[in-house]
Amino acid sequence: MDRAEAETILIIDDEESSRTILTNIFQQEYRILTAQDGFEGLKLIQENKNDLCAILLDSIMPEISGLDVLYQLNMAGLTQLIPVFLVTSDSRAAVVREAFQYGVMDVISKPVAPHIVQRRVAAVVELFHTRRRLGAEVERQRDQLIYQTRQLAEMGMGMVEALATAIEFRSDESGEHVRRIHDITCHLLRNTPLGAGLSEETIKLIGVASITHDVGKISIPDSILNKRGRLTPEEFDIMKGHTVKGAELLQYFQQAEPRIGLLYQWAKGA
Amino acid sequence: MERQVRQQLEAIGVQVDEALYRFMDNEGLLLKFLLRFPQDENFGALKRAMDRGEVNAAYQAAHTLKGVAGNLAIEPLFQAASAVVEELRAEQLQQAAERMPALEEVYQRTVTTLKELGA
Repeated sequence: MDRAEAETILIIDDEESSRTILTNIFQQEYRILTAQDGFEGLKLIQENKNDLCAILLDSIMPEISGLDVLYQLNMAGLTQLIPVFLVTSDSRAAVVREAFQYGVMDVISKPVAPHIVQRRVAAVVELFHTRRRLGAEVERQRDQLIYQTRQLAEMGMGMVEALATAIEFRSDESGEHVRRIHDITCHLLRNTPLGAGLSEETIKLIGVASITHDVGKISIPDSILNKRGRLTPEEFDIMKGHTVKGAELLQYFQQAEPRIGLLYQWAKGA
Repeated sequence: MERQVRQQLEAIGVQVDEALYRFMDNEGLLLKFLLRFPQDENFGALKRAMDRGEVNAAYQAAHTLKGVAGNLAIEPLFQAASAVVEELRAEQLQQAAERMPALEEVYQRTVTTLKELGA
């Protein structure tokens, strides 16, 4: 619902000369709707609420009073969206106090002085328009930010996957190993008590983290990594060091995806 | 505005410049409302409500009459109607009734002149 350019003013007054005077003031710049009593006014507000930029409301009318109309608009939350001006010859403190309590924007005294009512209404209408435009702009920027953050996170994940696959190739294993570890991890988390209480998003994240379990092997010399037969105790110590190297390496990725490093620790510990 | 029309309006206390300003110098629109004023039913409604002692109905009619007189800047009528409105707002029917003859006199004078203007 785009109310940014709403430009209809509703005039609710039981007396014809008052309706005509207000119409005459505003008809150059706004579309005008008029109602002769509160009931008709409420009906028109229901039907046109997305087009109304202001409501000029007489206070003393037969059937239901202006304050009654205002009260109902306030209850419906509409005084937040559409500025209501009470146009009244009765500006006793009690009336004004009650009007502001019910969310009136301004009280204008009758008989009206055209320039005063024109300027006051136009200023508020402009304010509401600007506020709505700014609100829409902020919302658009927030959506864009969320989208970009998500794209960045996906890029980070892609880098982790590429890195893990490269390591597996180096240690003479096919890239399929990475895929299988990922799939098995996710399968176990989805279908066994291991994954109890984890959201699908978390499961996917752990799946990606699982493929980094051997990423530290990039720092292990080929002679040890691909050695046929038993490792010497010294070689085994170096081999074991791949977990520490892996953790160090993944710290660089934390900028792109802060959760990866933590999950690596978790995967190694498990 | 024609001088003669203006003079007649001023004779019944219409503040012509004030009224013209309210109608944003739309003289035709102002005269239309002035000449139509004798058909306004609020004074009659006020009298009937006063006779029946119906404070609320009397207040509504007096208030509307005051509003029209204010919009058209018929100052003496506006003042006389305001006096009645104030009493009725305080639900002082007796005091309101005491102010009715003054209002009626101004009202008749206003209507007579406006009818002549319209003829």
